[in-house]
Amino acid sequence: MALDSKLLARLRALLGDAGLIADPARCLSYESDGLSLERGLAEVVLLPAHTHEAAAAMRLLSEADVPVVARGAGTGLSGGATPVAGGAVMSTARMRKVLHVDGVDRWARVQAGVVNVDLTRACAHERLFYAPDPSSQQACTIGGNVANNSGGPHCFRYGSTGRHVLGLTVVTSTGEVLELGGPGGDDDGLDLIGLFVGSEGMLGLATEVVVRLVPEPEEVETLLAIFTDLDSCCAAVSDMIAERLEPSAIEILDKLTIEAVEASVLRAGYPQDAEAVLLIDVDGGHEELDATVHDILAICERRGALEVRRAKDAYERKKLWAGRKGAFGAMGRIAPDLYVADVVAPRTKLREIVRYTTEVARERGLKLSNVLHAGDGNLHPNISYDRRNADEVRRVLEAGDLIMQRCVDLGGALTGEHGVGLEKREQMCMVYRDVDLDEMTRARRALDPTGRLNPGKLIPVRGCREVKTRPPLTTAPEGQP
Amino acid sequence: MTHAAVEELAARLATRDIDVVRGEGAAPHWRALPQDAEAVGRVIQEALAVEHGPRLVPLGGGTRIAACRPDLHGPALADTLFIDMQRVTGVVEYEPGDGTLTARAGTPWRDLAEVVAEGGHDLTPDVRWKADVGGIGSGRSTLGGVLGSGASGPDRIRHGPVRHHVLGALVATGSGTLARSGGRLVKNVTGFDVFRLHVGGRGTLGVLVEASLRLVPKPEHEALLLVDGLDVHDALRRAESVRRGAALPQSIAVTNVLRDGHTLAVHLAGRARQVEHDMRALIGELGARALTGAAARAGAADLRDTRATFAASVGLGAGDTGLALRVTSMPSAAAAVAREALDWCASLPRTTELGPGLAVTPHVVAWPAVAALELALPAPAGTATARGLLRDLTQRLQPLRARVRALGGAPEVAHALAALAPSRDADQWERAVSIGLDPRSIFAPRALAPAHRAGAPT
Repeated sequence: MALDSKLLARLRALLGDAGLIADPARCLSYESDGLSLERGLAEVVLLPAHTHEAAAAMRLLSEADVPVVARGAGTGLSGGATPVAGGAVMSTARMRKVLHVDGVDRWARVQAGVVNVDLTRACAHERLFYAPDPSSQQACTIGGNVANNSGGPHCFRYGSTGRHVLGLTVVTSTGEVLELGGPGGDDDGLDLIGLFVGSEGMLGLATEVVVRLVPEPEEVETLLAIFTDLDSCCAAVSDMIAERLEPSAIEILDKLTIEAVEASVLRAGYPQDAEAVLLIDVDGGHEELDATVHDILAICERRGALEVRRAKDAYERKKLWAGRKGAFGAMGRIAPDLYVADVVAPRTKLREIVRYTTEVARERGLKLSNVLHAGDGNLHPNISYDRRNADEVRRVLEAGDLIMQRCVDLGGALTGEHGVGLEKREQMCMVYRDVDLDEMTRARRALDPTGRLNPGKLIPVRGCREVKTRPPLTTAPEGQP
Repeated sequence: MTHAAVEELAARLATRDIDVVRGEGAAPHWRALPQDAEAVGRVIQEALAVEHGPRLVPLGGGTRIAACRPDLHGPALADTLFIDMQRVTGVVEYEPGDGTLTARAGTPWRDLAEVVAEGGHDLTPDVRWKADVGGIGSGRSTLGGVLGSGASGPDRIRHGPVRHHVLGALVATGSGTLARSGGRLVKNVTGFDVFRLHVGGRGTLGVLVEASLRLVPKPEHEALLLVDGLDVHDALRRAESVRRGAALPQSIAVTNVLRDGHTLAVHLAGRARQVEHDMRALIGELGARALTGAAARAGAADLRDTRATFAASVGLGAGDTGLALRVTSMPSAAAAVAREALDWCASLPRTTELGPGLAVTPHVVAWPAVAALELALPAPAGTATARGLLRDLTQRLQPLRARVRALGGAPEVAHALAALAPSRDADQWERAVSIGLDPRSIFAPRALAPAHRAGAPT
């Protein structure tokens, strides 16, 4: 069934003019997320203001068999929010309320469109914070974080999004509203929240999220260790993991990244003659912090660090971290486009995979910069390129594939926090066998039998396991599937 | 379904080199003993081939089966084939430098703890290793059993629930395949985390065959602070003040099982200087006495096992008497909820129309910061059957449920009365997932789903 004018009118009556975009020119803003290589045009963009509007809209779309792609801020990097099958984009942009903060039992209920950093701002007066901190946290939403099980530097100590979600309000593909879990958690049944977090919008639309809040640490210390080679820097991190140290974040930035950051407005004071720096946060009680810093300093010295700087105050800490979080943006100075890879390797293999990555890029004449959530073994080899250069694009994608394959061969994974989406859909076969993918497909079909929610993502197309095709739409622009 | 179905399946399995044994004693039952992952898959395939075959229930050491599967007792056991995982054992990979462990599901939890201790790690959850199970299972907790039951330890306040530490698993599915999801990495979002449904899934969707865990560092130092002889409400109030304080304890417990009166126990673990610092502060604040080092670790293990003993005291192996009540609440409401629950216990009649009633003074084990209060009311031997007793108590529980709900909590009878569990929105998706992953209901019935609750004691 096509998205006919009658359906459009019903949706408009439900959501109002502020809640619906049907003008193809305006729909263009929703044609991709941060992975700009892949695009698709939605026929309509819906912006419900709360759960019940979203559910009512979903019922109408369900009756008309229209695909629905959930979208937060569009900061995703795997094409997860790209409407490849046309249909409707359901944006959470008007669901931005922090509904409740409980400072005593340490939880909050928010609408899915609340921006990550706004949640922490909303509970700062209780001396609590929301721990997952993706680099895009100034823009990305809690709903998007749930869809991708997003991480961030401080997930090293505090864990990714999945460890912070206590409850979800979910609109199902047929427009029913389900409450999963709640502030007290839910241990009595299946861990549906665990399945839902990271399911990339393919099981349902989360409209409200109950999250765990974490007490602000008594003290925080930020260290910047300066290395003359990337290899020793990686080795130092492997040592910290092997010695079971628990700082809250362990990040590596390499020379090209440092140069890009230092040339940008986010200049953090990283030394430009360094080949790599380790940016480390240590937090906790005074004594614990002191002991951990002591051990980290010893490792850095052993691994030949030139110097370890200790941030003098909160201002300096903030500046060091602003440089790290703005690193991807700063890469814009190197080339117009940036391929952000997101692979994971066992933390004993950091050196090996970083060496290989460097080699692969060098052989193909590509500009590679490395940013690593090193403590988690999560690498972001970033390749700067120009998408107008078809050959360069080909080399970039080839390098990406090789890096993924090597990670998998070393016991690693395709993605640590960005998700599979469109980008890594076919590479899923590197990691999983058909029987594994069949079981994932069963779980998906159990909760969205028609496959209308974010079709064409995550599950490889091979063997017609997962493709939602629908007849061309009367209102679809040319070139749409 | 009859014994004949189990016997037919046993005969089929014998032709495929899988032993099936009949357990006798208080709880007669059948167990298949697959020797490896593939054999677990074969058990399922053969069961699928038997018309009206028995239901399959994965079995670790049996230490949690009573709490996990309250539907399994009496006649239901005759229609059940346990898949006993005791031969599917061994560490697949322990990578000390990465802080991860992969092992087969039947491996005893204690063996795993010993392996990772050598590399300076601990397992979480901190759960008991063994229990008297009355003949079903070896009595030694296993990796698969701990994960499948979703067991939490007292260390939950520090490390979170068990599901946060499972990185991936290999599962024998409802169609007899072996499917993997997740991996062995501490951070990974590749694909749907289907394995999460099996962690805490109580074996209702498949059989955990192998799993990978995130490990926690073995603490440099430990201390156990104890305050004895408290009134239960005072103990809970102090526990809440510790939870809100600066220290981040490994566990906080209140119990009357150890000594006269109630004991508050605060377990500290971590960097030595921090533990010393927090210990000094709490000794002053609480007037506590302290155990340190190995004595603290042993004391904390005793407390942990006290809880276990209590839970098992009304389990399958203990002859089906007594009542275990688990009341969850938000931490801030724990004291108020406890008051309601204890008042309710005190109001119970000493006799019921079915015979002698429950003990009036319950055994209390509370982990207030984990949001759970557990009460055990042992019944004198030779009283009415548990089912009769529970039927009688169903009515009496209603007012308690209403009052506890008003305080933001939820009482749940941990033994045999799934019928009392509140209906949840999640049930709808649970049914859908069950049908999706186990279309032939080979692992049915599911004690958690309302459709089956109708069949619970009436």
